[in-house]
Amino acid sequence: MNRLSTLSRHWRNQSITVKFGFAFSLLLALLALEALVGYAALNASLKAESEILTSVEIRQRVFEMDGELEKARRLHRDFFLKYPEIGFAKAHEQYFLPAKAVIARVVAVSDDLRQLVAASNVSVTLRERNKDITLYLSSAQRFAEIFEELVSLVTVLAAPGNGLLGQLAPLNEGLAKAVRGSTEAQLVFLEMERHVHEYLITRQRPHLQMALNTGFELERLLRSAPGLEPGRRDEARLLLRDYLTVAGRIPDIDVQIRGRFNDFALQAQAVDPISRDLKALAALEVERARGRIDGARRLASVAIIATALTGLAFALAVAGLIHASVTRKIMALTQTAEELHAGNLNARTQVQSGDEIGVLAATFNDMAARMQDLVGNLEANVAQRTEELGSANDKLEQAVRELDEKNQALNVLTRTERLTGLANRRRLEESLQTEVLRARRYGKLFSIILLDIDHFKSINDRYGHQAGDNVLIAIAGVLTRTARETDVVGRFGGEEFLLVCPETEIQVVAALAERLRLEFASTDFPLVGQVTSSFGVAAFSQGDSVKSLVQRADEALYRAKNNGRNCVEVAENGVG
Amino acid sequence: MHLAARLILPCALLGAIFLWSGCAPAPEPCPDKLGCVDIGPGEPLKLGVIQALTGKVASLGQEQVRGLELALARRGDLVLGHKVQLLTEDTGCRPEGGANAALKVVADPKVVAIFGTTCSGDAATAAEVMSKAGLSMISGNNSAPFLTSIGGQRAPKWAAGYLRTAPNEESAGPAAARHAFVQLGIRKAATINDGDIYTRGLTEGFRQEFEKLGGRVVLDATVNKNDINMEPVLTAVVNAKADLLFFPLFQPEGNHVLLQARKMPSLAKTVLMSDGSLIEGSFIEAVKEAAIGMYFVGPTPPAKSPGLETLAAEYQARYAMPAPTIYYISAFDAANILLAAIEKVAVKGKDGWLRIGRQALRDALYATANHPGLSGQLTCNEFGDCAAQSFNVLRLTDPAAGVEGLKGNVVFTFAPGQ
Repeated sequence: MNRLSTLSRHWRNQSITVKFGFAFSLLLALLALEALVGYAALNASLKAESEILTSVEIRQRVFEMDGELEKARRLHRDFFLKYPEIGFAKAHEQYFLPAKAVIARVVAVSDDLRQLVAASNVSVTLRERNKDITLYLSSAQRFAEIFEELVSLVTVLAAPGNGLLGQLAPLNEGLAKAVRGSTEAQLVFLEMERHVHEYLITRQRPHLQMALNTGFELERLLRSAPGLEPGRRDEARLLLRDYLTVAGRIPDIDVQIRGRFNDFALQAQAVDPISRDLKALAALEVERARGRIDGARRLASVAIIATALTGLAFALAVAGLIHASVTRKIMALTQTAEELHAGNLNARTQVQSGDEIGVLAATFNDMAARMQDLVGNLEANVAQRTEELGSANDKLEQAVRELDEKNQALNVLTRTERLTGLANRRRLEESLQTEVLRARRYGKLFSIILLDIDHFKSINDRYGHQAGDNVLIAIAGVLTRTARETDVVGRFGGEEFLLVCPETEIQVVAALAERLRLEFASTDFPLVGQVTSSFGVAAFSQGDSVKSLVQRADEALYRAKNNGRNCVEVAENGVG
Repeated sequence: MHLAARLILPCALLGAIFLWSGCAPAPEPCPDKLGCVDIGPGEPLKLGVIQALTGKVASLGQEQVRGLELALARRGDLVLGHKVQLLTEDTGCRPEGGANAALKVVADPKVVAIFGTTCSGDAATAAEVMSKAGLSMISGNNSAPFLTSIGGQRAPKWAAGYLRTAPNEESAGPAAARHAFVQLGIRKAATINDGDIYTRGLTEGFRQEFEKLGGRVVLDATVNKNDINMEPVLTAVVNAKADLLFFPLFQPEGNHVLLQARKMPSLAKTVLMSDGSLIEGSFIEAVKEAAIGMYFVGPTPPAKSPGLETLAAEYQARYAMPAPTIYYISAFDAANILLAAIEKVAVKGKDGWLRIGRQALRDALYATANHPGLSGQLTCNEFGDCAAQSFNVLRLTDPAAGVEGLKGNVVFTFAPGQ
């Protein structure tokens, strides 16, 4: 438990680089492990396939070896069966020499087989059989040696002419002739001959020993055979000696031949099970290799799946580890940052570790604490400043309102004549200029009425300036009431008034001027009574300017003044 | 530290891959000119055992195996910490059996040496195969002179690596001849062998010595193994007028010769003499009174000693019977010489590995000197003879006394060079 906590502490204190390095190294190790498992499985399959091929080859070689040895045995058998029939030389050529060649092939094949087994990756059981193959090889070699010895022995025994049996026949014939003449000797000879025949049939040595014993008796008889001449006796004795010598050698050769045949039998006993077992083992080896391929495939599948699942589990564990070590801390930091962003200045992250994130978390907490302090002071300052600003704002709004009022008043003052409330000369000139521009661009005609109060100076002189101002105000009232809404009525200067009538022909303006004149003439002005006015009317003509139009109106007014006043004069079209 | 941490895993992986590849140390080349036998830890030490285990001489072959087993038992059946595995092959006491048995044994390259054979005829062919294969072979039973030396010269069937603790019977025939000529006054003798080099060696030794002494071998006959009808050959003996018949045959041929000779009145006075191959309880039991008066020439048995008594007791305890012959003693000695030579030349490696050089083993066997064997002090010469030659001529007077009674009735001893 302590070790676990030590390990956990040690892990927490590691840097992110080490943690990532460790995690990815482990993942890499798993990938490498999986690759190794795959490689091992592939290797096992390839190895097993190689073993199958080797086993098949071994089996083929065993069949070949066994077949060749069997062929050699047949040739060997045929040699002994046929040589009495076809002759020794022919049997030698037809059977012995081919048998030797076949045995040489058996030796070569078994040697190849031994090397093949020794160099291959077959099972221990089959490899251990290499000693049997060695035995097979040496037995085959021995077969060849013994066969050769056997043929030599048979040659000694049966070669035409000089073989023992071949020598025996003429000796037997000669001896038969030699003993003719002595019945007793002839009978003994016949008995000896019978024993020899019995031996040749049975190959039981006692028969030959009996033949030798009978020969001993014959020899004794021949020494004093009464029916034989001394010369024939001597010849018979010589023939008998040779006959017994030759016959006496036959059993020894037979024993040796039997020994060689026994040798063959022993060899067969030794090698036949070997080839049989080798074939069975090679077949078993193929089955075993196939089984191993299946096993390797199954094992590899299980191993790969297990490794993959382990890898997945491991990857999840690593992901969990990284999540616990990195992501979760970053998320905690992010959440804390969001809380701070939302205004919770008390928010602090609980991340504690020795890595970079731990350091970052500690720094973040310090920064948050410091921010909290700073924001606490700032709010107090802002409240104070807001209060001050509100107060200043109220004052400013009051000032603005006052300023607007003053501006409006000023605007009225700047565009209105102060006594009459009518448009002042500046505004009249602006209207005239506007209409002139409209007339020039759009061809819209307009007309103006310039009027002047008749004898206004005398009113001022007689009734005072206040009375004169009252007359001016009253005139302005008449003008305002009588003029149309679209008309601009203004005090042009002194006791002169100007009406700008947009889109109005001269006749209509002249009629309006006449109606105004009548209204003035019929009006009873307080204190001063009746007051008249003279009117000059002019219409805009192309080429007119404000100045020329006003001048023509003024010239018409002048004519009205000159024509007795209280009348309307219309200016000519065009300039002047 | 970080760098080290990054390096640990790849290094571990590489290490695992290296270990997985399975690196095994390459064996050192064998310096022995005949090759080496390497025996791994836990592997048995293999000895070939080639003996006659079937047929009438099977008891002799069994004696040889038992002599080896007793020697191994003294070592706790271990040699240099390795169990000994015996690869046993039967020769059937036939030359071809010896060769084929040897072929089987030498086919296994792990065989260190061969313990065998029983019959000399087997030994000649087996030794030839064994010698070509570079092995060594030791016998506690072969005694034919042809296998080692005759007259101080290499014998025709001598084979390098072949040794024996049974005495060379080069002097057995002469011992018989001397007794016949000198003690019994025989001047005409007949011999019967069975064609085997052992019996031929004996009859030839007899002939040479007998004729050297002035006698005459009037018949040198041969019977075949498994012959039953001995009357023809005995008739030849009669015809030859031999006063003594020396027939160093094995059972059953020896039995047939004796029994049938006793039935022939003309051989009633003929002295019958055989050799050690018939100094056996089974022979005496088989022929009983027919053997009375018969002579046997055989190796002088070892002098009684506490060591011998102990071995005999071990034999009795292990096989629940007394030893039928004395040849298990020479087998015991042969086994000890072989095992001692193996222990001497074996090179011990790590964890019980053994390496035995074949030529080194041969050299060690030939270098055996003054080995304190239970059959006597044994020193092997260049021909492979390890035992001194000393032969007794025995006369059987009481079949009921058995082999021990026979061995006690020594009428002549011949020990050349002593």
